[in-house]
Amino acid sequence: MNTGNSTLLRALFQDNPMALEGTRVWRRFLRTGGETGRAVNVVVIGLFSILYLWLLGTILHYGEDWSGGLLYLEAILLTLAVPASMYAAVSGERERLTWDSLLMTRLSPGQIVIGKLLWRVAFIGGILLLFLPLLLLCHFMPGHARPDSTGYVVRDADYTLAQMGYAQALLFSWALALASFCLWVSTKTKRSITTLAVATVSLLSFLVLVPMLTALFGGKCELLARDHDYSTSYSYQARLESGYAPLAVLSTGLIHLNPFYQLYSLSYEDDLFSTSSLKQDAWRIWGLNDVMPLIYFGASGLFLLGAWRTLQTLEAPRRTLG
Amino acid sequence: MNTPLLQAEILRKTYGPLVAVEGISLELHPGDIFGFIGPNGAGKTTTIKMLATLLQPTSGTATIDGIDLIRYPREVRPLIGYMPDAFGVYDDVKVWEYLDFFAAAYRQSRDERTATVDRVLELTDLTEKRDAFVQGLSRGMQQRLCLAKCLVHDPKVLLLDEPASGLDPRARIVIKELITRLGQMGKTIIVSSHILPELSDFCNRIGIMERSHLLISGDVETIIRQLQPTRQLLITPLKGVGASGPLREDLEAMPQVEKATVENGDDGTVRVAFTGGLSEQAALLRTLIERGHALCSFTESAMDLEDVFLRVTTGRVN
Repeated sequence: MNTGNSTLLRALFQDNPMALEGTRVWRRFLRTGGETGRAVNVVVIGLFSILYLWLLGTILHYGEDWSGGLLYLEAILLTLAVPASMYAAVSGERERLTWDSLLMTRLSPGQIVIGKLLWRVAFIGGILLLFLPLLLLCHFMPGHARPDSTGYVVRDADYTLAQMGYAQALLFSWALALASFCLWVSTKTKRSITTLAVATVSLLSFLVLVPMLTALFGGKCELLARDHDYSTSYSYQARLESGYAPLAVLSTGLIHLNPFYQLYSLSYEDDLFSTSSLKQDAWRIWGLNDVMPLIYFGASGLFLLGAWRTLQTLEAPRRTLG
Repeated sequence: MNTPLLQAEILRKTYGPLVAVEGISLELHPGDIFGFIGPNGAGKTTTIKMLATLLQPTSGTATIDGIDLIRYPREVRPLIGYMPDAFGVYDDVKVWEYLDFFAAAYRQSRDERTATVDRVLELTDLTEKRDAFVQGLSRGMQQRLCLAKCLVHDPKVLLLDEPASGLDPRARIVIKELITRLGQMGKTIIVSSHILPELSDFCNRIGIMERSHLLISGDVETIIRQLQPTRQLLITPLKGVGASGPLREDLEAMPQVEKATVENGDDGTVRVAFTGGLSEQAALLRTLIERGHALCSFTESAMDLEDVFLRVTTGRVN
C-alpha cells in the first residue's frame, strides 16, 4: 500500500515529465528571443530590481509600515499573474497541435493536471517569497518602536505576525484556487482566448460585481430591518421574513470569499458591507472568516478534480456501439 | 501463416448525418507498409485517428496485437506510434529534451531514456541536431523529429498521416527511406497520402479511399492484375501511321490478342490487349518480324499507382 502511494506520488511530483513546462517558460522569458529579447529581459529585471531595492530602502529609512499596501499589491499581482500564466495550460496544447501526441503517451490525467500546476505553484511561492522580506521589515523595523506617553516602547504595526502568516496562507490558497480554476476551464475549452475570457469575466464578477451587489442589497436589508424589534431584527429569521434577507446574507457571504475583503478584514473589526450581526449571520451560514484558506484549498481540490475528470473523459472517451 | 498484427472490421464513423468512414476492413501483418491513398476529405485521417484510439468509431471493431483498441485504448496506445497530419512541437526545448520528455511520458527510467534518445536520433539521422532548439529546425527535420518521437517507445504499429506533406523533394526522399527502413525492421506501417508517387516506391499494400469508402485494398500487384487482367502492349511500326493498318489487322488475327487499336498520334502505335505470358509475348514479336513488319518499338505498358487510382476513383468528394 505504502509502496503504491509512494509510486503514485513520485509519478505525480518527482518524476512528472510535464515539469518540462517550467523549463520552457523559464527559457522563453529569460534566455531565448535573440538579442532584443535578452535586452528586454535585462531592462525588465533591472527596473524590477530598482523598484524592489527602493522599497526596501524606503522602509528601512523612514520606518513606514507599508505591510497593508504590500499585501494588497501581492494580492493584485497574484490575481493578475496566475490566470495569465495558466490560461493556455491545456487549450494551448490543442492550439499547438501537441495534444494528440500527449494523449497517445502513458501520461495519466493526474500527471498532466499536477504537471501543469507544479511550476505555477512554484511561481506563486516565488512571488510570496519575494514579498516576505519586505513584510517582515515592515513589522520589525526600528521605526515602529517609539515611546508612548508613559515611556514604554510600543509597537503599532498594522498586522501581527500571526495575521501576516494568515495573510500569506490566504494569498497562497487564493492563487492556487485561481490557478486550479483556470486549469479546469482550460481543459473544457478548445481555445486559450476562450479560457482567458471566461477567467476574466469570472474574476470580474467575483471580485467586483459581488461587492457591488452586496453594497446594494445589504443596504436595503438594513433599512427594512430597522422596522423590526432591534433585538430580533438582525437575526437571520427576521431577514428571511423581510424578503431581502436571503440575498443579503448570500451576498454578504459571497463577499467573505473575496480575498481583498479578507485582507481588509484582517485589521478592522467593522465591516464595509454589512453590520457585524449580518456578518455573524453570514458566518453561521457560510462558516467563513478564519477558515478561508481551507475553503480556497477545498475549491482548488474541486477544480483540480474537475480538470482530472475532464481529461479522463478526453483520454478515453466512452462510446455506445450503434 | 502468421496472425495479423492489425485487424479492423467494418469500422464506421458518423458525425450526425455525415458518414466520415463507411465500413472499412483491414488486415495487416508485421512488416507490411500499407499506403492509404485518397483525395482530401476521403476519410483517411478519420480512419487513422480511429486506429490511433483518438476517435471512437460509431461501429465496428479493431484490434492491435489481439487487443481490442476500442475497449482498451490505454493498453493499445503503447503499441502505436502516431504521427498526425498537422503536428506541433514544444518550442523552447532542445531536440534531446523533447525526445526525453516523450520517453519519460512512456515511463522509461532515466538510464533507458538516454539510450532511447540516442537510438532514435541515430535512426532519424538527427544526432547532429541533438542540442538544437526544436523551433530552429527546418520543416523536414521537424517531421523527422516527430517520427523520432513516435519511435521512442519502440511501437509495433506506426500510423503516419501525410508524413511527407509540405516537404521539399530531398526531405521527402529522406522520409521515404526512413519509412522503408522501419518496414524492414518489422514494423507495421500505415501511411496516408494523396501524392501517389510518394507511396508507390515503398508500400507493399495499398488501399484507395473515396467518399468515406475503401474502394479497393490489397497488395499492389494483385490490384493491378484485378484492374488490368490483360497485358497492354504498345507496338510502333517503323513507317508510322501508314503501316499501322496492316499491323493491326495481323495482330487481331493472332491467338491471345483480345483487341488491337491504333492509338492517336502520328507514329502509328498500336495498343494490344494481350492475354498471354512473357514467352507468348516473345513469340508474338518473332511472328510479327517474320511476317515482315518493320518495328521500331515493342513495349509493355504497365499500370502504375496513378492509373489504378484514376481507374478506381470517380473524382467526387464528400
